Amino acid sequence: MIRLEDPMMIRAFVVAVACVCAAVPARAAVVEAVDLPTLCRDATRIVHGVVVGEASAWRDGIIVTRVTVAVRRALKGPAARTLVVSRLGGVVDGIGQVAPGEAELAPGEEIVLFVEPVLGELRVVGMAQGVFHVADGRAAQRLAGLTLVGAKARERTYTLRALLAAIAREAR
Amino acid sequence: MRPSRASARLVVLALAVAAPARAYVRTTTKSSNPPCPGPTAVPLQWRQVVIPYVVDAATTPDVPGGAVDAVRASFQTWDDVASSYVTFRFDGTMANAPVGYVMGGPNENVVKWIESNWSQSTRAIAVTLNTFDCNSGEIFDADILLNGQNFLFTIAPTGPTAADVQNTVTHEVGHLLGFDHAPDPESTMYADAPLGETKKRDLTADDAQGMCDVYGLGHEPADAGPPDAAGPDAGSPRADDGGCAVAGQGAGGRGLLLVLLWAAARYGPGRRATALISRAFGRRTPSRSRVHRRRSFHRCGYVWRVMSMSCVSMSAHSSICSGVSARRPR
Repeated sequence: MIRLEDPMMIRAFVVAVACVCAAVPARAAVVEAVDLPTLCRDATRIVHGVVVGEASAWRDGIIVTRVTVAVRRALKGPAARTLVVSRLGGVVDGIGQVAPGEAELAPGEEIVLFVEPVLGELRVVGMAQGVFHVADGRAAQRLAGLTLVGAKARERTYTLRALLAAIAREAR
Repeated sequence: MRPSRASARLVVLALAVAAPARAYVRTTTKSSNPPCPGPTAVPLQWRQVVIPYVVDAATTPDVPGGAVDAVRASFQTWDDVASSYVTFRFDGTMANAPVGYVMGGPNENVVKWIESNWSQSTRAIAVTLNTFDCNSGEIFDADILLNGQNFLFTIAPTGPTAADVQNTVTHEVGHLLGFDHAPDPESTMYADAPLGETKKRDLTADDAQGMCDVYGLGHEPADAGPPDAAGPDAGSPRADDGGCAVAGQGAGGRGLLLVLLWAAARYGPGRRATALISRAFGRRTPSRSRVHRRRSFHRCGYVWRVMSMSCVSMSAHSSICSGVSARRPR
């Protein structure tokens, strides 16, 4: 039986508690999100492609970044070789703007993207929820920076093949 | 039993109940998309003691009489962190308050409902836009936009049908201050916010710890004005308890709670456990912030009385809100 009357044992106990604090990772967010059927329903266009360019510019005091995606496969909506989607924030002349939760779209990255028309531009559905980042045959959401309303699903990871098949079923 | 084996058992026990991290997170110059150039991620931070803000005069038609008081209460919640030097100053309402940032121009930190022509994702309920310097991380301007086009708002939620203004804006003010989402489900800065939720109106110890660490008394920017420049609407006076007295939930809150619960159950009332630890380390146990005391007594009841020795996450005792929520089209 462990006895805590001994000061040495008490120190050991507190050290053990400190281990709890030190051993865990600094980030471990798992966030509830809009589910895949809803993404498919909201999106007017769904594409599998690669980010090939981005350009940030001021627009009435707000930095908007337009991202160009080379489409490998159109899963919903019109077939086109490229798609341009706008997102909030970016960097212009050493000034940055950030809206936590906005979609991450990095040049060179393979993605599955869900977009909707908003005021004449394409926007990512549900901000970061509407992007699956593809690597090594897997497609995953990154929701760490996103405020979510609802509890329909959690951050999702699929094999690319399974995701494309699910989208094909939902978007039919 | 030899001490070494006992120690090993304790360490194993502690690690066995370790919980996910609980700690505030800061937005950095690498958080934007695309990120700022350069190798270093600099945390975003205001370099002023007094942060003024205005509320667009139209507020929201969902709340009779407007929602200005609820917005002000949201800022006041962060203002009330006694160990922080930052003070918010309400500069009144403004018709057609301008959103965004103009270099060299007059800029306002704005809270504004957008009732038509919402230009972001239709599923976004609120967006905070921070403008900052890529080199220093200094925040120049911040605006909070609320999606009145696609969501209903309320100041007295009765269910998952409308977003509580104070709950939403308190969370967004955290972003305005440069905080990102925290992994603790109880945190005001947690990412999930079901419609009708109100728990984010109050800060957790971890949220307050973030304020203390980033904007702690005694660490005011050298070129900033004194706190009393805030004016009459700046909120409650600072407490004269400089330094970071907030004992946050920190990492491994639930694991810590369980280990301490075990100790309390095994060795009797908390006073005895406290005395034992005090004896071992020869000093008093940590102090607690006003914010944390208030919240702990509300949320924790007997656990607090049993374990007066430390700040403990209450997440193990609080159910994570799994409220239903869906977008509510207008």
